[in-house]
Amino acid sequence: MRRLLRGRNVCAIALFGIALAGCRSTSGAGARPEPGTEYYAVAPESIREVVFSSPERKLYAYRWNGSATFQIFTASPGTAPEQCAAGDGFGRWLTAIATIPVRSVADSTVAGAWAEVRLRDATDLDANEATLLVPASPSDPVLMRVGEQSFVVGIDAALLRSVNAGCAGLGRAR
Amino acid sequence: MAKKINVDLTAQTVTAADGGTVFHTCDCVSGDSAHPTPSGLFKINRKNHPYTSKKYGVPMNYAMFFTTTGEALHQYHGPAPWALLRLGRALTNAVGSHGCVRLQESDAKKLYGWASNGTVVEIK
Repeated sequence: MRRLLRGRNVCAIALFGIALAGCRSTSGAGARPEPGTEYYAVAPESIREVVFSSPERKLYAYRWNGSATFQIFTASPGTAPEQCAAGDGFGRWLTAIATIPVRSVADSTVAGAWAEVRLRDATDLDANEATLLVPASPSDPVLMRVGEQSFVVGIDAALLRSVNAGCAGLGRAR
Repeated sequence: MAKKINVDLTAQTVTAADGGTVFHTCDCVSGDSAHPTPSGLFKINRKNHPYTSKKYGVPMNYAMFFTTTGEALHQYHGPAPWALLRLGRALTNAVGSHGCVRLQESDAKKLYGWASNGTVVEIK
């Protein structure tokens, strides 16, 4: 009986191998974000490390576990670097960028202050990364760029722009 | 009512329901005998689309991760037709994933749009 089962397995694998040899891959490597879906969504409590880099603001924040307070290091052109413990403002900003709902395809020729965002969470996976256009006005939509394509995303522009306040807006009140 | 995704490893099926209302049922292919899909209660902790696994260098679009070690429900991208993959799995559990729950593209897309972080995933 065991020999029969083993023979069946070998036959199945052989059949599978022959079939694979004649098939073309249905690779999804070229897939794009789709309006109506989330480009990424990560639970804010699982985030351990944040990197934000735009022409106007550099920010690095980390914490060792989910219950700890983020420590923030940030700088902007022409001002002294700041360090602070995260406050409610940082929590709101982090929640705003922890999920990126894709709304629609945008004009791909948009120029402006693009920011790189990287969120490393508590998983073994690579970080969530996005390239976002921080709008000049809080009434303008936030755009995301993936390759040559841009998308309107459902991030609150005013919240995204709040990073530019540095520790005065993101840090814990003293 | 809470959303929940049930993965039946024996039947190789996935059922998504909100309370007593079934949203979607579909076929799946889980981990092979060398990389079995973990059983138990989990929650979706991260979603990515599109997504490429750096560990294996392969696409995993519509990824809904339910462990911290990379196991997810996601779209199947392999070279073999889905029906052939299912046939192979029916014949032997040597055919399967590295622990993920593979879905056809339409099913993965539907579940990705429905489930959110925190949605319970029960695998048995």
